[in-house]
Amino acid sequence: MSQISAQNVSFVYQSKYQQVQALTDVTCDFEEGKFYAIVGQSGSGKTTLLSMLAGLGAPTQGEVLVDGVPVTAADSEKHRRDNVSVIYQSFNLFPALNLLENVMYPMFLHGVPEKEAKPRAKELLDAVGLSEVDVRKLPSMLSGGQQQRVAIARALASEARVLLADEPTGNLDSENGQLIIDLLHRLVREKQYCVIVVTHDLNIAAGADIVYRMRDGRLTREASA
Amino acid sequence: MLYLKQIQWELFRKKMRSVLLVVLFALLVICMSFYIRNIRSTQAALDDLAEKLPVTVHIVSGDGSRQGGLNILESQFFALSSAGVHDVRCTSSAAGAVSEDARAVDPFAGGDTSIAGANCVEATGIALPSFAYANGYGPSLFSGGPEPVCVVYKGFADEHGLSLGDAVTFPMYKVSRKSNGLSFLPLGDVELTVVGTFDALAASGEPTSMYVPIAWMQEATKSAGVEFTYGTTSATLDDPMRLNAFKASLPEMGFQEANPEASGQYGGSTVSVDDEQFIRTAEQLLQNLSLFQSFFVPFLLLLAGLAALVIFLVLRSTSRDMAVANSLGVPKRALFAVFFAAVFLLCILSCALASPVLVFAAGLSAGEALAVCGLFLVCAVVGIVPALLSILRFNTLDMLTKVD
Ligand SMILES: Nc1ncnc2c1ncn2[C@@H]1O[C@H](COP(=O)(O)OP(=O)(O)O)[C@@H](O)[C@H]1O
Ligand SMILES: [Mg+2]
Repeated sequence: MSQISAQNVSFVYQSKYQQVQALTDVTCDFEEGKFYAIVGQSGSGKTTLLSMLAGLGAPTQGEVLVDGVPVTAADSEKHRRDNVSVIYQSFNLFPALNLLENVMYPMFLHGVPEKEAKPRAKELLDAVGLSEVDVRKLPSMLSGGQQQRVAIARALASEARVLLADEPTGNLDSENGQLIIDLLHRLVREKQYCVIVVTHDLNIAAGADIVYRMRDGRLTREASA
Repeated sequence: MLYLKQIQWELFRKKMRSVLLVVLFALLVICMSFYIRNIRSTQAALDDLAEKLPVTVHIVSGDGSRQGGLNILESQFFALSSAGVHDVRCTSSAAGAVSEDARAVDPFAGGDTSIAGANCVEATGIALPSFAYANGYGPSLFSGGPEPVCVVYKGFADEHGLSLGDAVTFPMYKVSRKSNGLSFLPLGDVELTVVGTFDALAASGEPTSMYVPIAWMQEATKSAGVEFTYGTTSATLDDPMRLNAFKASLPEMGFQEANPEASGQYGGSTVSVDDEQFIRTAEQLLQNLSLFQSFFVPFLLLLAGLAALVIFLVLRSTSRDMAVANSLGVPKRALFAVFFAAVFLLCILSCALASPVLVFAAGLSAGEALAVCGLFLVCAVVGIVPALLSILRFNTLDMLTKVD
């Protein structure tokens, strides 16, 4: 079953002084229970593609579909609430909220009452390996690896089945990076998430089920190993 | 539910920011209240001006040079005193011969007694405490009816052996001034009871031996078949703000403009108005008032602009949080509502904190303080909206892929 796909997506950054063709006719499919890697040089368009999939911008041409239904600009926020979660290189947690509140945030957004959200958020923090950490701490008191785990826990707190990760290990040392990748693999295997990771790291790509390569805004699927 | 929580987080998780905004907003409210107080106090000063700087008018000689010793006709007196004035003060002069020696002089040439009729103590030009009255008498005797009583100068009383309660009888003459000197018209013998003394002389004019109620002098003059005239007449305008209308109506009342070449130096044909200071002050106040009023709207816009700037500078650093929330699916208009509500609540708090200052330091009434706060809230809204809109113009993706 097809979860999320891009159909002939092109994207042009339109600024005052220049036009940048960041994506050209990109078509791809991402399914539940699979781990995808998107590799490519810096500036090749990987982040742009991820943001199209996340509904953080509308394609100049083509469309993004969820279960075959196009995502329009009007429901891009609903798309972000319900279908996809994004994990960033720089974590992007709420600095003024404690760990528990950061994880509960998407649940509140879905109207889950606090007394249900709290135990679930604790479970999620346990699941990403933070059972030892005081949930009342602020993100800034945690290491980068721990912060990224909180970000993943927050991503899991929404109903979304697709996790989009843009260089999630970019700010981490290799050991912590590997732990994050292992965690994402476990989510695919055990919970049937669809995980799409943009990465420079060839080791991460090697562990993926399917690898796409981005080159000058064009996407090609690598032959599977 | 999330939004209420987020408002709470914005207010209480960023305490320094909230305190800073509240303090700055409170300063703006106080600024505004002082501006409004200035308008109000200028307005009040203008309203009080008639009392603080009364405009007096005098009947003067045709050449404008003399205010006293005139022959002001009754018709002229009535014309002025019924022209929207109050505190009318008038005097009239007469002369008499109390001592035997003075009576012996023939023809009468001024005698030993100068007599002034006055309609109030103030018209005498002598300070009130200088007078002492017999029991049952007081300053009101001047404004009363034609009672044959007099208040005499202490030195004069001593000289003539007069004391309170004595009756004094002497021939009285109406004094009339002509260009060729004084003339005295006999009014016959009069009998007056001494009911008061005074021990100071008027700062200006000839020394007066005794004052009598002007009504009595008027009656005594007329009953002798002599025309009564006033020596001085002055009054205070009821409404100095209608000064120009008053001046314009003078010709209708039969008064002429002062003319230095005019003859009839002792007639009362002209009215002079002491309005210089009033006009100068009123113009200054009006100028200030119109300045304050015409800059009121720009001032409010400036306040709104300052509020916008403060909000923009203080909340700009929050735009990354907003971008994160937006990427999680919070619509920007919801973010707008959340931050608007948070900032607006801080504005209300600022008003609450500033209002004691408004009431106790700026002297506004509770209602005025409330109005100032309301006006500030309107300004704040005018400032909050563009500030938030410009903060919310961020590109979510750019914001989130920035690596710090
Ligand atoms: N906001 C932007 N405005 C203009 N050009 C942009 C913007 N963001 C990215 N680009 C350009 O689009 C191309 C693709 O960028 P990006 O998707 O970030 O590449 P990658 O993530 O693979 O490094 C690059 O040439 C980049 O310079
Ligand atoms: Mg990138």
